Amino acid sequence: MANFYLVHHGTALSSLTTSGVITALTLPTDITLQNTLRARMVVFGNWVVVANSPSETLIVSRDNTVYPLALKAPSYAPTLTGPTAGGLTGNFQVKSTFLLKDEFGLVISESPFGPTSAASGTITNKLLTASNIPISAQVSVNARRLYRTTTGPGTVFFPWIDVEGNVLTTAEDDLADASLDNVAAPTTLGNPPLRIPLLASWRGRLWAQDYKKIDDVAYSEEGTFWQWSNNRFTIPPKEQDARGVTGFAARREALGVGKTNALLQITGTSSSNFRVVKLSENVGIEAPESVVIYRDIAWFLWKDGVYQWDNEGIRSISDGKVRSWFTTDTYFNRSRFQNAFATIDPIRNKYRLHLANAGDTSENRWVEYDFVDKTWWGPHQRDDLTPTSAFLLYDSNDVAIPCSGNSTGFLWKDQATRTDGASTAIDSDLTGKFHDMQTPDIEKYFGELTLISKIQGAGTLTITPYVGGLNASAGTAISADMTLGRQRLRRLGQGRFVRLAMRHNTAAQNVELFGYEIPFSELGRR
Amino acid sequence: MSAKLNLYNFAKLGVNVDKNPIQLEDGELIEAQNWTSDSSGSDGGIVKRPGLVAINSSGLSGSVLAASNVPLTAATTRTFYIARATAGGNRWITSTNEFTSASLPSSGTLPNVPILMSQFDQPPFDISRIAGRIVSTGTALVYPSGTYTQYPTASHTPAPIRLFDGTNDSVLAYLPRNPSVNSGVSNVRIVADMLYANGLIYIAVFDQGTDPAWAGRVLSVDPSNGAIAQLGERFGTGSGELAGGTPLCLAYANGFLWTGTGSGTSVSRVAGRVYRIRPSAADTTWTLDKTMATSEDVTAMTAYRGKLYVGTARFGSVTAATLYVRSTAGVYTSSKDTDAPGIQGSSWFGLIVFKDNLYAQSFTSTVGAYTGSIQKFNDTSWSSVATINGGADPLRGCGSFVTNGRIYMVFQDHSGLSLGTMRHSSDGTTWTTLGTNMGTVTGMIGVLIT
Repeated sequence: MANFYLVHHGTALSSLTTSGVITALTLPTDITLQNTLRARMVVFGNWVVVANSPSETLIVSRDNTVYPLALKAPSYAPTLTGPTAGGLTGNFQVKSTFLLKDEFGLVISESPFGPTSAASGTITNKLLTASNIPISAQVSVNARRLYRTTTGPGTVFFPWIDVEGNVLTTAEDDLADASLDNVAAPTTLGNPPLRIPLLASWRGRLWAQDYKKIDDVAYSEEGTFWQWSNNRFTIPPKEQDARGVTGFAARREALGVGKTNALLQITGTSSSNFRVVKLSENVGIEAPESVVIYRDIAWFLWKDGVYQWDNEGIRSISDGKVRSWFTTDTYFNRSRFQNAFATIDPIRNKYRLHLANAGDTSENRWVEYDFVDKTWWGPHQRDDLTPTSAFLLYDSNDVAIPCSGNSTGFLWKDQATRTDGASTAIDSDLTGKFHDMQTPDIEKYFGELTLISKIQGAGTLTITPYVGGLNASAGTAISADMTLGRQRLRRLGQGRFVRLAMRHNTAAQNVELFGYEIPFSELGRR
Repeated sequence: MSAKLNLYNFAKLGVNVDKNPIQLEDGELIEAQNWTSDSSGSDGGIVKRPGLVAINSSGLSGSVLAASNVPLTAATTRTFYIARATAGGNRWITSTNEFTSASLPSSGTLPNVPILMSQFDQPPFDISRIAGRIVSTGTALVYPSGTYTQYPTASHTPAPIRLFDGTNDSVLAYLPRNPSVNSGVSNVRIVADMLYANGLIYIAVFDQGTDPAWAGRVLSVDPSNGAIAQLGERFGTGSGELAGGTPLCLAYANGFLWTGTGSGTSVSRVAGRVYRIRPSAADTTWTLDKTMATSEDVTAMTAYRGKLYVGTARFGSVTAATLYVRSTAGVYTSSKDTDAPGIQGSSWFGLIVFKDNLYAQSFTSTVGAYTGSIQKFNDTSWSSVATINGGADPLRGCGSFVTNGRIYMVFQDHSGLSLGTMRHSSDGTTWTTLGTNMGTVTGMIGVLIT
């Protein structure tokens, strides 16, 4: 599969080939990227739309050319006269737009209309001359399009003349009314919000949060990124917090719109029947980048945990298992939940959510949810670097590769070798439950531990037993040889409970545990 | 009582930090840092999480804040193709590094055979009489193939228009016969020019006819499905047909498709003409915009700063060929003449806009002395920015192309029999010569962006 990656790093955009070859992209004049706002990108009609971070929303072509998404409308109207002999008779009006064309002459985007000219006054057998044709200050503009009415002047405008370049200010023509383009001027030209904090693609349209009216969601015409007309919804409740819309979740038949305390959906198939429906109160989207959709299921982080929205409704998938991760200050820095980010691992069926460790100010931990087994794993960490973003990429064979970015400008992907980077060991630390053998009040003697594992080429697993009461101290560590597959280890000792902690911290070695057995004898109640 | 704990289920339970220690199930974990389940080959067990390896070998500046997979072909390579018009192998010159180097591959992924010199060289044309461009849509080259048999050979076949996408080369369309020529039994003789605009390919064709009753048409071809339509009337001497010879060149400007006509080396030369039609308005007739002088063929056109520039050619004439500018009021005035020619004539070709300047290929011939140059116009004055040999080497402009911040100008031997050359420039001032043996080029130059 042919594909590449577009990356926002620092204050720059670059494209990467699947093999990691970097090409820096040149931004349009006067548009900058913020390194404090992460770009939000959507692939739309052979273009990548880049929002949030740029001072103006951008579009990027597959040849790495960057343009502004929106062309500003002409700010003044052409002037109409008819001094030159020709074949046109009537009274006309003209208005203009700015165009962006590609090197092959195809229109990429068109600005909204500028002001309508004054009527030409009646001309008789003349050329209709348009002077004072607007010139754009945007360097991307490379043509202007003039629309005119039929005589009257009529009220409907038709395409009249494309004036190539951004220099000439006069054009004239005596094209008869009957020869004008049969299709009237588009009525849906219009720009998106100047800046777009949140962006989604759904139903062949772009959907955008308005950066000024933060409770509003605007949307483009179908199939275009430059025709936005006045399509928008206000997502209730209005003006009740400083964040407004907090996330999009584009599922197959509905666009989820999150707020900090509500989740709503937009349904319908066109602007004539789009409607907003509230799905929940007191559950919303806390972190925009925590939203992941896979197989028409949406996962997202709210204030008290992770939620799943699918055809069966909205439900917490963390309650009863890891709710404490999200509702206490023991595990994560809850004040940074808004900065959480996530991706999907479709190979290993995991939703991967990055959070800040308790007391820390960067998202230096991540947890995983196995959406098939419905199990949670983690919190994970890497000892060499701190992830700064997460995303799903595809390699040159179209194989999904969950990835993360970090503060040193690298993109990281999973590898089978259990090493982070060139040589950093993965510190794997596991703590099990206190086994009470269904008799927590009975003193027992725990015999030889047997560990069953996959036979590896090398490696030693350190097992630390805790035998005694619920406050048992660490016992003498046991070394388990990972090359054996099955190993009888020493007796664990006496107590009401036994717990095992296991650790492996050697680079380039894997450990795969199948289970363990612990024989025991009840000694009685003290 | 003696018993044994057999625990083989912890991969199916994962972490639980909500229950108290007594309520936890055997196998549930209270922490699993860098441990995970893995359903892809290790289901049921727990493993260390995968390692992480960098995709890029050199770091980007700043923190990686976001990335997106783009499931589109990255347009990282521009492969240039220049057709050569001699029979045999090596029919395309290719370059993937913007002509830092170029090659003459004889095999591999190449377009089909382009038109041969012998096919071009049919009165009223020889190869020096037409614009002869092909079309680049970015993802495809559309060009006239040479794999057809020209009328009047008895087994003549339809002229094919082929589409090459870098991998596959297919017939996009066969050009339809002109019903008014030879009672509709003859196929199109050659393609004179091609143009890509508004998603359609426009083709000027020479249909044949009897000197001086040359006939031609302008057709449109949809590159997505090969659907062909004729624009306006036919050109010729029949009833309802337009005078001025046959279409030689095309331009799209200010909402109009323009075609320039001429009679080339016809015995009875006519005055070339400029016609316009508005495809978007579904015009059914061409509007005559300008009638040139007798023997003045219209050979190249383009829009520059909103005005149409019209290059002409005069063959076998001592009158210099004029490059006209059409005012917005439709008045044609001379913008630039070629050098004064000798008896063999002069011409303008390859009009093209590059970095807000207009460039054109000027050619003047006398017996044994030829002058070819690249002329530049900045909307105020003309200047000669490159001389293309001279003296006895009759190199004449035959094609121009602009892409990715560079302008390319192709030149052929006037006789069409010796070596061609090419100049390219990134600023319009300093020109680099391609050293590759270009052979007999036709000016059909295009680029595929892959």
